[in-house]
Amino acid sequence: MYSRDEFFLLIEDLSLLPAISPSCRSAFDKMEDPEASLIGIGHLIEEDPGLASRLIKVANSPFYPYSGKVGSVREALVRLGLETTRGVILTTSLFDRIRGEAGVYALWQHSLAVSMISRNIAGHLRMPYPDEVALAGLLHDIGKIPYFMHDASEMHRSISDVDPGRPDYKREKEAFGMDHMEIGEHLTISWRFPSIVCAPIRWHHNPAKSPEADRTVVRIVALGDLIASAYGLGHPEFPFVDGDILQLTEELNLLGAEVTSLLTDFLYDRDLIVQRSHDVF
Amino acid sequence: MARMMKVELATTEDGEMIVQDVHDMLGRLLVRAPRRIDPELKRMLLARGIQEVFIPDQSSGDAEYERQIVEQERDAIRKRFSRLQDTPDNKRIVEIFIRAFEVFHAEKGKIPPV
Repeated sequence: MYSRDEFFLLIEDLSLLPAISPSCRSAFDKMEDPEASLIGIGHLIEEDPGLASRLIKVANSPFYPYSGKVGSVREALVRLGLETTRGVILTTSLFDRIRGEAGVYALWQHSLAVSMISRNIAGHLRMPYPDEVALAGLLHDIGKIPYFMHDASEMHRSISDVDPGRPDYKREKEAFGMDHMEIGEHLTISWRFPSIVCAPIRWHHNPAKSPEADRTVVRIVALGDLIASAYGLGHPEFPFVDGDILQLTEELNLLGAEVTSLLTDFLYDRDLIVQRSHDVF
Repeated sequence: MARMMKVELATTEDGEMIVQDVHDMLGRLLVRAPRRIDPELKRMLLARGIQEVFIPDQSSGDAEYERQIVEQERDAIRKRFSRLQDTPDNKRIVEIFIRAFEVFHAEKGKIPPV
């Protein structure tokens, strides 16, 4: 068991990105330079063949719905955009560090699922930035990763304490002093992601408290989180729906037929995730 | 060899038989088949991220088999919503999720739409 301050010190270290490789880090720094060209960023990524091939693989994966095959890092950067590239590099690098831990693959599948649903909902609502919404979905549980990195056995103890009445964030708070929403928000702000990405991470379990400006995106990710859980791609330790789906759909002005269509689309994506999520992990 | 079917571990009943070895994502053997499911085994597998297992397929034909799949998914959906209060709105939402699954399953050509 940790106090909030004890665990905060641990994640403070992580906010400086020590967990990613030097080449990832250089690419990160370069992406924040407004003067940087895609060619320059591409060259940095190409210095790490593993990173380069993974980025191309992600851009070509069925999880990014674009046509045509990408053959180079530069094309992958153009297809994914810098913000999504940053998110993909970060997420996959961090997940790599905890790959062998029980429950991590399910977390990866859940993150992919929420990302795909969030993108679909954003597209349905004709929002101008579906890629950022998808990124928020991919990163929404990023705050769980430090638990596995710093004290996997405490995390497993917390997970295996199967009390269906207690959601994951309540157990996390007891075990680590901080829940995954607080941690995720702290990290993504430190990593300088925009508020459209950070706000859903902080508020996806409580959209009503989110800042007005980002509330629609928060609601989308919150709804995506619940839909993934309802169709079996939630968290194994708490496989239940614990939010108000009806309220979220009403707040997003989604009609009954639209909801059914979104759910049906997700069920196709669910098959894809179950069959292909190994491709990028 | 008898037919097997993949089912969601969380929806299995105690006493059902796992008929295919269960490995974790690193390929480590967690359960050697055949083995009956009990609460401790289920808890251990769920904690290790295992979501599905193979059990014997007792169905008499494809249509029956597909109906079982749909029925299992219906039960699983209801179970996942079981922590919510039993209100008319929540019942409506569960039905929307079940209906969407039935539409999806019918679109895939598995069973006639209900």
